[in-house]
Amino acid sequence: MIAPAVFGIVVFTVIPAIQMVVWSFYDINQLNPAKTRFIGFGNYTRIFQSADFTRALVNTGVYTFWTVVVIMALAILLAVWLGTKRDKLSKFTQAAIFLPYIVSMVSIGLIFLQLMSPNYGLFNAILEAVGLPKSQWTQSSKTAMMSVILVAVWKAIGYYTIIIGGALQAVPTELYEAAALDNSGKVRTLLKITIPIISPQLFFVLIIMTIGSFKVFETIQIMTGGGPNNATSAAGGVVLLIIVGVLTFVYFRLLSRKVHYQ
Amino acid sequence: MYKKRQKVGKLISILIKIILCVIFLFPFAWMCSIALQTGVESSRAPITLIPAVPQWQNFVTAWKMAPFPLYLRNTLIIVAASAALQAAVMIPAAYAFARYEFKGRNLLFGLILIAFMIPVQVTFLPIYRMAGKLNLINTLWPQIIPHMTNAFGIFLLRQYFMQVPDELVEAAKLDNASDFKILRRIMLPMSKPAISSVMLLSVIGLWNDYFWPLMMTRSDEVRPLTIGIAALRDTEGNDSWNIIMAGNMILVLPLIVVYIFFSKYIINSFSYDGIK
Amino acid sequence: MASIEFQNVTKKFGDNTVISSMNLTIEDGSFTVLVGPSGCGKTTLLRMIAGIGPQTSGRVLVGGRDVTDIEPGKRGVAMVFQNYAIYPTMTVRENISFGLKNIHMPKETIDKRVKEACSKVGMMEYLDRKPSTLSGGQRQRIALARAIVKNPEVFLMDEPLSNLDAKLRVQMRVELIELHKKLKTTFVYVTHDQVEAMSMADTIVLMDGGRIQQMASPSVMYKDPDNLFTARFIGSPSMNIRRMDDSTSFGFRPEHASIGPEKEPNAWFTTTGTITAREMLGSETLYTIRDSAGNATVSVPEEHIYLFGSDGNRVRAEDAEYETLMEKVRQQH
Repeated sequence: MIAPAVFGIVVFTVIPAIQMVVWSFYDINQLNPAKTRFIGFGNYTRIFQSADFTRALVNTGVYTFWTVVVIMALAILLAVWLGTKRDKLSKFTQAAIFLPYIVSMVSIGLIFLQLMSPNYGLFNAILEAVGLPKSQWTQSSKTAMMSVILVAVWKAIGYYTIIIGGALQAVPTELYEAAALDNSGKVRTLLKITIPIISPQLFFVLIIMTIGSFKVFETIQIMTGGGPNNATSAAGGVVLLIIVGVLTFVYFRLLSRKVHYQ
Repeated sequence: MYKKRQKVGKLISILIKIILCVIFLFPFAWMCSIALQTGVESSRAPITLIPAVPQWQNFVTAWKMAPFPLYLRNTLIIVAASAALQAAVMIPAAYAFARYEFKGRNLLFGLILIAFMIPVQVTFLPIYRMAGKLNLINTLWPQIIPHMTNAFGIFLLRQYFMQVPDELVEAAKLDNASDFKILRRIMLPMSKPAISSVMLLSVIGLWNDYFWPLMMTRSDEVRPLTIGIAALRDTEGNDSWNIIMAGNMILVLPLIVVYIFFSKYIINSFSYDGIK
Repeated sequence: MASIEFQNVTKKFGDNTVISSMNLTIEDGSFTVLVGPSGCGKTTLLRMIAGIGPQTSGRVLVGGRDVTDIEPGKRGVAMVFQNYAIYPTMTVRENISFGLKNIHMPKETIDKRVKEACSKVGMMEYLDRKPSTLSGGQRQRIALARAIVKNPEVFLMDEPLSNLDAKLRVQMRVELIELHKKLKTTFVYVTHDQVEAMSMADTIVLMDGGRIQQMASPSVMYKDPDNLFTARFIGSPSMNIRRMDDSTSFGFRPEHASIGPEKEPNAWFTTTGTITAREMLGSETLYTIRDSAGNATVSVPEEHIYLFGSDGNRVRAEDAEYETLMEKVRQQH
């Protein structure tokens, strides 16, 4: 019964991943396969010397850090504030916040590209109207990262709000009642009771978000119009793989003791 | 005093909710507005909020810019076939992982979890070469078959199957039910919310996928909508936002329509991801 | 109808031996209750009969037939689970008929039998309801009907009343006794509650630590316990036990002691103490007495004193130790 699933994983994920690791040690000659030769860490020294690659790496790191931090903080706040409310407006707001998550990055990229267009985009029109200086948004290296993070947060926050909201619903109401009787304020209840109880889900969200962040390539691709970078070749892919692995490991080491399981 | 403060608090809370709705819905309204503007309206300095005369022909123009019927057909085939394949692979696997003790079970499950963490950006190149060797580059197969194992779905569904009380399975065994029957009559009906959640996630992901088809295709014949829409920007350039947005609506609208009708259901099913 | 036999049965969970080479015969047509504290192996025995948790070694016979290699559904047994195991996605009718449909019984027969079973438990008007709309007691009845409909040779029940409230539990106890009379098949019933065992069983199998402590009728269990464990477990309030210095002990049932200001003339054992609690239960009143200096004197006549050796086994009148132990009891106070 598991044979097809294992087949799919082995053939379409494990073998290709291994293949990439192997290739990363070779100098591959597409035109003349006979000239392909083993060069050890040659590719790695080459990409780490390339400014393009290191910049991409730093950018991905910065992007991942900020999206994870901002989304986590906002999603917890939104979930606590909205997730337990049952009135129509709250539910509609939740539905609205979630909507961007199901729309493709291609469409959202196009919409924001228009909104952020320096000359006839809406954002600059608004900035101008309230007397603030215009921004170059994605067109300038200074503001591009911020623009991309803004869009990523906007797109994904609804999803995480809902996951955390689902976790919150499992928290027994007696606990909040007990906390209220113990004179615990709102912030204290959030920090001392709510967050520790939903820590397994938060941990799960953290890992999913970090892994998801590395697909940022897609966002940048559509928003800056750049093609697949040469540096994201085999060696680059392997570096990506190692970073994801190391981060997950670090999370487990640092946080697993703080995660509360029932 | 206390009452007054409560009233003010409520008003602020309503205000924040309205602002949030605007922030998250306005870009889509904006897309619709631009899609109905003239080329001049969409690219001149004082921006146009509402088009003077709705330009419905923008959709026709966009539709004719590229072989959209072909793209749409490809998208539909890819989404339907991949989702069906995933369900057929995922359900028995999740059941086996949840219910059977067998040698190497934890090892294989660990393999699936690790694979779940490997981004497709790492694996596309060898798979593309594999498809090339099999002469499948100009078919839809490379966009369907590699999706066969939905690791996240197996993980989620296994969790759900494990929550079905042992008693029920034992009672069914005493009732002479075969494994297949236990799966079909007890496990599946009880896991409906989880299965629909996984399938919805999967369908949305497949419909929206851009990176994989971009990497797997070399001709319009086999490309899905996402690529076609993204390409509009290159063919149209930055001055024809009205046409680009009209094309964009072709991609977004089906999902939004589905969402309007099922938003409550979709949100509920997504909240099942926050598993313990 | 069938008897059940365990021959040298051993059950291990991993390296942990829960039951080792047990022999036990449950008689045909009996209402046998397996009782004991949690973890004593009673449910394990039941699951071995059903085949949903087969033995590690040894043989299990149902109606003289070795069922070791027979699938759960083909053993001629039906089971009522602790949490009822009602299939939540099926209607009451589908729940009851599921087992019959799986063996491809003709539709008319199924309909007839479902109706029969349902009327036996008084659930006729609920046939097309979903389980989620039923109360605990009603689900319990559905679970019973689902067992009855199969005309099993053996009924297995795993703490079926533990999720009901006190009043309903007493009512269902009577219904189960009546059902057993009506069906005349073998009932094997697992519980940790000695009251349930005493009230329903014709044979009680008392277990502890994977071993049978005593197997007897309820009245023998109560009046003539084989060992300290049985003496303590059966009866509510339980037997008063006092240890003597050399780890032998003696006991007496509360109803056989008399309390007064003075020692009774026929008393063999007496002690004085203070009444610290009084529980008025209607037909009887329970007194708790702390034995220290006090003004209440407890007297127990010789014939109501139970003696236990240092191994915990009962010392009866015919045993050699009896006289010396009795003499020792008299010197206690």
